[in-house]
Amino acid sequence: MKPGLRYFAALGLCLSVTPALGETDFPVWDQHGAAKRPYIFTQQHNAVIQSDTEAPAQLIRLGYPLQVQLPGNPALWTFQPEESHHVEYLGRTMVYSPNRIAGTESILVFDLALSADAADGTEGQFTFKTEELPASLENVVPDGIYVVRFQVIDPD
Amino acid sequence: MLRRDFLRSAGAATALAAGGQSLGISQALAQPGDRLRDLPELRSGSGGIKTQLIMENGRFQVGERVLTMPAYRFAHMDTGSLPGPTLRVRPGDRVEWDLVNRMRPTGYPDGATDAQKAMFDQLEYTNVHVHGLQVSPKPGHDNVYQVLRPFCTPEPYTYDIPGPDTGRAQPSGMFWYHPHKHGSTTHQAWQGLSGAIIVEGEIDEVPEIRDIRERVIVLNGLLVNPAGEVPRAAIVPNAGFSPFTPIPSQPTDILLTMNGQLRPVIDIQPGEVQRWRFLNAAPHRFFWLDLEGHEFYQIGQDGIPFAAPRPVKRLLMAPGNRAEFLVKGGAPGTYRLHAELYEQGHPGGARPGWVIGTVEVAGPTRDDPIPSRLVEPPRMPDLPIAKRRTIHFKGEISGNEKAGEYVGSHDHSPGPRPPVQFYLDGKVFALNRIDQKVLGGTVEEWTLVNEDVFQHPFHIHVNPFQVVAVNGQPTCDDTWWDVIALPSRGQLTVRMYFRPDIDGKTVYHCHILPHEDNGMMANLYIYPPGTDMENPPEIPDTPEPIGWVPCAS
Repeated sequence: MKPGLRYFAALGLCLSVTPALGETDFPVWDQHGAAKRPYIFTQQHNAVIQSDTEAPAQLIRLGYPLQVQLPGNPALWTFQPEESHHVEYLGRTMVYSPNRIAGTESILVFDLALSADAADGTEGQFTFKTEELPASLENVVPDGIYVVRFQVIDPD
Repeated sequence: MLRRDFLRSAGAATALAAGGQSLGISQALAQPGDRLRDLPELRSGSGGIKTQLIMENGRFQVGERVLTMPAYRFAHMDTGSLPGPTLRVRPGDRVEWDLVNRMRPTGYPDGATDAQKAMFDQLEYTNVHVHGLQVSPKPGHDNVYQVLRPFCTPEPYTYDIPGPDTGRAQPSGMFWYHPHKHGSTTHQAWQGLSGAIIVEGEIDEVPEIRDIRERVIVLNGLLVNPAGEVPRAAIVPNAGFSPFTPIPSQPTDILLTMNGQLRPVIDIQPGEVQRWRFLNAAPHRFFWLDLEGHEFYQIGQDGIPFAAPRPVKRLLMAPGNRAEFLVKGGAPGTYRLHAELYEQGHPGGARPGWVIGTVEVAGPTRDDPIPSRLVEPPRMPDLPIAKRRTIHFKGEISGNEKAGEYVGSHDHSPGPRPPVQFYLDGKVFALNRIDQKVLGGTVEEWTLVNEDVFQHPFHIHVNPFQVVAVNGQPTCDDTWWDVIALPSRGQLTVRMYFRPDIDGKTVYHCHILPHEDNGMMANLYIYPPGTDMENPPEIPDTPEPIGWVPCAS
């Protein structure tokens, strides 16, 4: 089984043994007036590098923003709408970050949101690709393909 | 309030609702704009003190949030304190405490299975380090290899603080205690587990200082999820205000607090001089302190006093640093206390500036004096340099590297690849690899080479040091440090005197604690004077921890 499928299988197994996604398992996060911060994903969240045992399910609560941060420049990461589901692409910024990761000068920051039809139990994913993968990312993002799979939960 | 007046009993600033065990809200005086609280204190009696240092979960109001996390308390306190209570001692004291671990896990990611939860059991394993105290690192003392699991038998620690009879007394100033279990140090620091240790001595009798208002101020960086808990997961760095994200991801926020409060207010009169003792107990954030319209008159660094006050506009505090200074109230008004924007090398650029508090100058005008002389600081012994060493610092944050020694990013061989790794001399920490062997009673010079843009703060246990060169250029600075930030892609040379009366195995490491926990720590063995260093005695292995689960729950 390919690593990505292994991860997805692990995700499915994990979810299949999880009882109802109710308040007992996912108590509401009281925001206490604070702004909702995003779920942030970096290259280390790439699904294809996660082993079965180390791949906890990525659950995302309705109403929270998403953000993907990938090292780049000169590598340019692009959102793949055909290989992304139940997310909306909101835009990209580039943050100067030289000398942190070899072969990259910046962090590309992508803002995403769950799509309007996302609901409790919805399974989705987002995919980014690059054709200029630096050697320093060859193992963590093999072939320049970055994928995060998730399931939506609604504690309310 | 005069310093002598507020040497209060422990617990004065806590316990609005008793019962940390029952998760009552322990501190409710934490709204922005509240007056800066004084932390609870415990003072040693004649010759020392004996107590318990208890860690247990509580709920703490910080701003508009209620946080659920463990906190320290001493035995006689009803509830924990965020940050922990202050201990006041004197050179020559014996401090004995039993560390009691009653921490319970919090911060699980949504949907975590029992197996995944078990992967992070060790985040409640702990011990305690007395940072900056020149005491024995051996078992039963300042032993950072000790592992205390939750609800197991309390672990006794004894610290004999060097007195004048040793010929080299512990300097009088600000030190601190915090957990130091390799692998869980960061998590527990994100929870604010830290407390000040004040060693009182000669500088406290300087006439211009003796009776002025003193404030002990602990800076924390609390990384919390929307539930007000520290995420229980591997974390990786990211750009943005909240500097780390867990795997799997959880939304996080970073709360920069003073004595557990968001943006408190400090009162001072025009012309009044106050003594502020600042500790940066945050595991990652540098604080570049700046008070609008005021100068600081620094009187000590890392617990070691100066010969005379040094006027400075801003003070840089790397994680682990302490700075003690005098502040003289200016014209009536309100002034912001900043942590200035600072480029410490984190991914995504400079850490943003942040107002951490305000100072309100009001009331009758005074004209308190600033002293011109303080005390005679410790001197570096006039000894030849016994040995010179070079230590290399390098981090790897791509997630691309195999676990273990640094081999470079082109290695495609199979094996686990940790999300991040940090290396000293190309190696991650190993419990029973002795990286440096030194001889007590000697002076050495270490050149610390930083291959990164991350400004790794170098820290060594037991003995402080002086900086003698920056990027090879000599300095003329007699300041003593126990933590100092290395310049980005630069180097420092430090000179250390290994006091002859303390031997044993201890560590040096980066005090950005996510770096330390991910490998950037190494072992140092100090042999007693007289040891034949050409043929030194074998060093026994440190036992691996026994047992891997809490003793009860």
